[in-house]
Amino acid sequence: MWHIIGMYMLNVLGMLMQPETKPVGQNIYVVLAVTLIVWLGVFFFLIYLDRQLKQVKQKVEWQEGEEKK
Amino acid sequence: MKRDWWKWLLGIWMTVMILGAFLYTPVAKGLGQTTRVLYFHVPSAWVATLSFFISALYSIRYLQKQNIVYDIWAASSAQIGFMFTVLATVTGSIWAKEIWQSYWNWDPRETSIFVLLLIYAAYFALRSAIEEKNQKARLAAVYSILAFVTVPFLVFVIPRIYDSLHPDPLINPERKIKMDPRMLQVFLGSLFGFTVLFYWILRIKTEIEFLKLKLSKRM
Amino acid sequence: MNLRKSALEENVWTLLVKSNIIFQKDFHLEFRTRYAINAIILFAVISLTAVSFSIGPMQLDPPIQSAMLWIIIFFSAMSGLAHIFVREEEQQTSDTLRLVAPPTAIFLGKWVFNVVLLFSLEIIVIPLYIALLNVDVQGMGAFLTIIILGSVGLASIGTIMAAIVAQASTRGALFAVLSFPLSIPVLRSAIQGTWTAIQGGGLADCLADIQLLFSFTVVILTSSIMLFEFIWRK
Repeated sequence: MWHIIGMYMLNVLGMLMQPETKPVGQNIYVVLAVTLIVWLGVFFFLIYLDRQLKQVKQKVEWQEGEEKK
Repeated sequence: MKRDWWKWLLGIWMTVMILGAFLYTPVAKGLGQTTRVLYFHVPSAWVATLSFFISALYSIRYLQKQNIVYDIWAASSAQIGFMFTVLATVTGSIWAKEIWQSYWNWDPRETSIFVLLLIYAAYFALRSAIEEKNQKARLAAVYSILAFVTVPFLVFVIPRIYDSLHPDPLINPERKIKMDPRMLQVFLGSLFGFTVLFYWILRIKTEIEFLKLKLSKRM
Repeated sequence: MNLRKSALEENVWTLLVKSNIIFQKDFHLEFRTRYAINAIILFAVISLTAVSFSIGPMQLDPPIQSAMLWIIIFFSAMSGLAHIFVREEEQQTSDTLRLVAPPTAIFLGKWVFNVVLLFSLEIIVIPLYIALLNVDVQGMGAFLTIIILGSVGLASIGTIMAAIVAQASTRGALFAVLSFPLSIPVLRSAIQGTWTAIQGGGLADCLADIQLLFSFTVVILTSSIMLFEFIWRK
């Protein structure tokens, strides 16, 4: 799986290196930046939510254990 | 932490897909830069459909086993699917404004996604109208299955209303993939990423609901 | 083997007899108050006259005429079909009903009642529609076939949705909200078929629509009968 990602990375770099194969206007980079920011926002929010959930779950289970004692 | 490796991998994977969608793939003929919505719009629509099927499957399971856990799965899947349906609708509509000069013109694809939105809306309206938990689960499951049974007929009926102008990258009469290989790589990668993302959100949602259930039992 | 077959026949027979009893009961109750039939027919007549008033002497095109007809029938159905199950809940007779008859018989009885209700609506509304909107129906056979199949389809969806809605708290609005997405195949092919029939198409011309209406009704009916038990039992 990592070598596929590496391949993609290389390809992206290759695209950036060769200006003649890049018929892209400037605005598309703005769109790319916005998309990346939105995605990373969603992603880190999900990671945060995941952690919080795990903590609450552990707490509830711990309380249940206490009550049983 | 160790069991969370796939979540971080998904983060990297999707970031690479976004970079790939904008920098690596060529544009399709006649669509210009708007081609790039393909890598986000189609996976959203796919997840919307997938979640609808998952919801119906868990509804059937619920009616078989009468276990509230299955209802939580069905309802959560529907809620997250609804989110992705809205995403697919909005991205598609903005794209349509660019290409067809109007946000909405009842293209068959637009009609079918609209019906999907209607079904979800009805499902949630029904759920909110019933207080008792088991009854809510039972009736919602029945509705979900009936809606599921209707969908094949919609697929048959709706395309006969108008001819579609929607581009068909994968599904066309010849059943051939007419995409540039680079486009196909990013497209399938994005499709996979969206599916895993859906699974992750679904897990979070169901875990929250299970906790709620547990706490409400203790009260 | 022979014995089991006859037992099965006997079961089906008692089921039909019981469904018939349920139907008779609802029919007599309805005949006494005429609540649903009045609501549904008045609704249809009012919307028909509203359309007729607003277009005045204009002549509508066949596609719009057929769409109008089905919009009127759909919303009239939405105003009256839920009554059959809502009444049982409101008058608190549903528990008694649960004791005396199997769910399938109840569903079939109520379904037949709703079909009859929609037919009696159409006996009044269709002639009015033809007269008021000045519709020149050229293929009468196909027209009537589509109307009959379409109403049976609508009644099937209406009956199972009525059973769901009767258990919920907000009944009136919810009924149309739940029924509409599922009715789209029926409405779509019925409008298409009516349009073809008005323009002089025969049964062969709207065969695709008739097939779809028929198969959809059969599928909805069988799944309804299978699922009704889950709605009905407490």
